[in-house]
Amino acid sequence: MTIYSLYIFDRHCNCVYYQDWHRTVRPKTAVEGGMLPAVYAPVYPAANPDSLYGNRNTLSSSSGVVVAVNDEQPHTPLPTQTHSPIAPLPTPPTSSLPFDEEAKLVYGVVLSLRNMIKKLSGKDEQFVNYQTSTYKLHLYETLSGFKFVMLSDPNADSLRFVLRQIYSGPFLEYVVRNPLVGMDSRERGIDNEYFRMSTDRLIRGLTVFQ
Amino acid sequence: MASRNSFQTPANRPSSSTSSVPSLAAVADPPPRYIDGAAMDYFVIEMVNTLRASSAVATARVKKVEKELVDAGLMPPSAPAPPTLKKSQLRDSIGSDASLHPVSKDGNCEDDEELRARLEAIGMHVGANMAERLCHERGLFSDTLDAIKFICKDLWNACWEKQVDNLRTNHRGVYVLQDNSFKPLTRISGWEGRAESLKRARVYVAMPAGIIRGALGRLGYQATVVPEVTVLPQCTFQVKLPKGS
Repeated sequence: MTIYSLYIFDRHCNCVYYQDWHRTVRPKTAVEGGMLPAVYAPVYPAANPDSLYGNRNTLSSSSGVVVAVNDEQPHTPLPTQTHSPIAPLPTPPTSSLPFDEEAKLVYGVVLSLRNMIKKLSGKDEQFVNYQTSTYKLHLYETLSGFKFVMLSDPNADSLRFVLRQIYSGPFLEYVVRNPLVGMDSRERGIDNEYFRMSTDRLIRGLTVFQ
Repeated sequence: MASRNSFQTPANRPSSSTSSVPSLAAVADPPPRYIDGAAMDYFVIEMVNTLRASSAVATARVKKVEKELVDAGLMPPSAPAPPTLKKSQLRDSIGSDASLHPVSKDGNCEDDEELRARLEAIGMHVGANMAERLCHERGLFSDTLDAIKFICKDLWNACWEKQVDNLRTNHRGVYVLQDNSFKPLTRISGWEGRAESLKRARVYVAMPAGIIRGALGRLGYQATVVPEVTVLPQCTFQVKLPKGS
């Protein structure tokens, strides 16, 4: 079972965190003003494009800088940028949608489905996940309005327990109790090094990962 | 400040019918009470943010008054002034209004000085009272090394649930306390790289430095404590005790 990516949205409808493990196309840089800082360093629009991978790059090698794997080819992970290949790597394809659009679409889908289900079946029903032919989207919503959204391959079982583990583990430790991260900020995301590392470790440590 | 996962309130002591003064024993030797570590962290976060805002307001007010004096011709326009006055004379948490802050590119640093002064002053009160509490049943300190060891063991245990990892001294009144995983720093992490997180983390060791200083002060040792963070979450405190104590 493959886990593709994780989005976290706060109660102000902003995407405050993003992390991915496997994607067929890399996310594209967001437009200026489209996304908050401190969400995902590689797609944050920097004034100087060179600084994109400068000291703002909080992705250490343990956090899964994953290259794209095309659907038709066999599942061989290409070497990451930390190893220098003999031949130059083909650049992974980039999505045509900028990251902020993508995040807004994901949030829109989640919100609309949730509201529709509440209207259809009453307020005790909870939208848990939905599935398409290529992915399955799992949602875990906290009482405080944070929405943890995870995309995985369609054959996965419900990953709500994973999202709950992320919430009660790394999130409470390194986001809520971190003095440098503002919880209800409308101007910043919640990205930080320890949170990224511990979520990555948690996901990779799952027996069902990969 | 040792943390537990739940509050412990003073339980209703079962009064034993054999003892005539069960409640007195309970008062003389109360059970230890704990504070939730997470709640403490949240308080500290809010305290730092609030004090930052308030010290910014205070600085702005001082600058405005200075500007008015300069405009009225009563004061010569200030050249870049020397760094802030000694804060050790502060009795309360309000920073000295007479400190001059030269406007520099490093605006953050100047405001941080005020903030750190306030935090240290708070820490001194907290440390003094903690020392009172922790020392109530032990004997006198035989020498300064004994007092420092008390800080390293008992105070550290009470506040941060561990002991100091390394204690060095030059036998001339300077002690260096090193903690390889200092509790207030363990969760500090930012997204702009290690250097930036390190810079911001400096504020959060000001209150612990004050606690150490206040504790030593209440015990009779006038010390200066200088905290230093080089690698998160490691922290060293340099304690200078005056000669002849």
